[in-house]
Amino acid sequence: MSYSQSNQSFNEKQLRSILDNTVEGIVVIDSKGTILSFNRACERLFGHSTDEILGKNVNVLVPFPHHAHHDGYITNYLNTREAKIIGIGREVFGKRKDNSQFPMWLSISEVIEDGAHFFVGMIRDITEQKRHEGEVKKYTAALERSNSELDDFVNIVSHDLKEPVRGIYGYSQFLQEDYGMLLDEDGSNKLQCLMRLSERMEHLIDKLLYFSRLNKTELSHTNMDINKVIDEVLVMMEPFLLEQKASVVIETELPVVMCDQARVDEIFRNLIANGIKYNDNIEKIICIGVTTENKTKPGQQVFYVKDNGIGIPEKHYESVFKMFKRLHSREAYGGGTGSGLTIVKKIIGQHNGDIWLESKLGEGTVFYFTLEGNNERD
Amino acid sequence: MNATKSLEQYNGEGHYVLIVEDSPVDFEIISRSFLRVEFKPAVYHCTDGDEALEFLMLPHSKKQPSLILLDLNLPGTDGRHVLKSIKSDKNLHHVPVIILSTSNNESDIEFCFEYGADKYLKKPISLDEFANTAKVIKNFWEDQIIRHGSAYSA
Repeated sequence: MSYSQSNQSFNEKQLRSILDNTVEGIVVIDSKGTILSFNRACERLFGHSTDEILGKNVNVLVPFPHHAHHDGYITNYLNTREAKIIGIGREVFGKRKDNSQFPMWLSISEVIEDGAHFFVGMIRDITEQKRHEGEVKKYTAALERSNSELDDFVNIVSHDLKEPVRGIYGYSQFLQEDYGMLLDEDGSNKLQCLMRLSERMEHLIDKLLYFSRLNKTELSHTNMDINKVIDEVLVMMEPFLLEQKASVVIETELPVVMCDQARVDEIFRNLIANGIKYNDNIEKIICIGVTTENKTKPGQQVFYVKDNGIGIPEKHYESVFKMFKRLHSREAYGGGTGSGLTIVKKIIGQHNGDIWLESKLGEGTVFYFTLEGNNERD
Repeated sequence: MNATKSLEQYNGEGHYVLIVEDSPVDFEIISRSFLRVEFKPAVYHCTDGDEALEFLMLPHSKKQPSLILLDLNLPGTDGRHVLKSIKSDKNLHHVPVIILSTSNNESDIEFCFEYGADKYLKKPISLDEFANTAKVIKNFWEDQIIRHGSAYSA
């Protein structure tokens, strides 16, 4: 192709060629809807050849019952100059020569040249796009159903699993009440053991149920003043703190964060409780604060909960977050199901944050975490 | 040792509690806890929802229970349905119903109060804790039923 040197423009033949060879369909109509131009892409889209379609009304390409709308649009626009589709563009359906329909994106512009008034329509076939959207919808629905079924399953199973546990615990208690005096110390201990084990089973099932519910229930999104959140947590933990001779120090002013209050409560409660439980000092101290100068996430708001407890060996930095994983024997350090950190990590994940730790054996541990605010991503 | 580990069976006279509970362990826990807190009403025990409704709807059972303790998770006809049926029956809806449940589910709690349950009590696993629950029920009985007496024999 060669341009005319003077103004870099194309000649008519070249312009026609360009028009004819666009990927998108271009159809030109007059204000009565008569088709004046119909490019090659349109031939492919609609199945009509240019020759047979020129001079026909554009309604030929519009499926019933949208004809009426179509005529209405043009008339309305010419009378009111109010663009409902002109200059805008929208999803509509097109009708092929074989009467089949397809979804398309149509954008229309108006051309006024030498007293002639045209409308130029650009057409894109969006069948693929719609099919893809449809699949995403189906997939999302299936996923929701699956989640809902899983939750029902866990609910039912928990209840059914708990029943015999209640039975074992219950009858152990009756044995104790009715025949306890017939047992020697060893016998009594065994009975106590039985009861403890069934209690433990109940707790494990409860935690499992709770953890699975975390997946299902939606987070609430509110701007929370974390200072206030911690105040409330400390009020709730007061008896425990007193009993353990523990003090909690808030080292820095804490920010306002978009989060779910109940769940963020849970994060702090768990971390504080752990720092006190796994602690051999007479005076247990927990420090809480926020920093933007953390090496792992510089510039981000990183919360920390620091304790003067027993510390965690580096090789266990990952495994502490595993469900039901404890680092000590069953009853040591106040016992527990080993699910606290798993739940904390889950909640932080739901807030699109991260949690990690640093520790020195015999000196203490710091848990760091971010709460990057709720995106739709879960 | 174990003098009377069970509560008196309803013999057709006076106030009594209808206990709808399918688990024998839970029924025994209820009985023992009542006895522990010196609460000894006459009791009629049903182990499923249909049995309970049949008993309540018997035309000749003019003496309705003065209190119903209802477990939610019953085999067959579910406790929630039993609650609904009781509270929508004009001859029965005045009978107080206390729900005893292992469920902490908010939607269960909401449902029960929406359908007129008077109390929703969680069933703890330990006898000691259940004694507290028993006290609550005993106080309710003494307060609502004995004090208001004949209001509930309509």
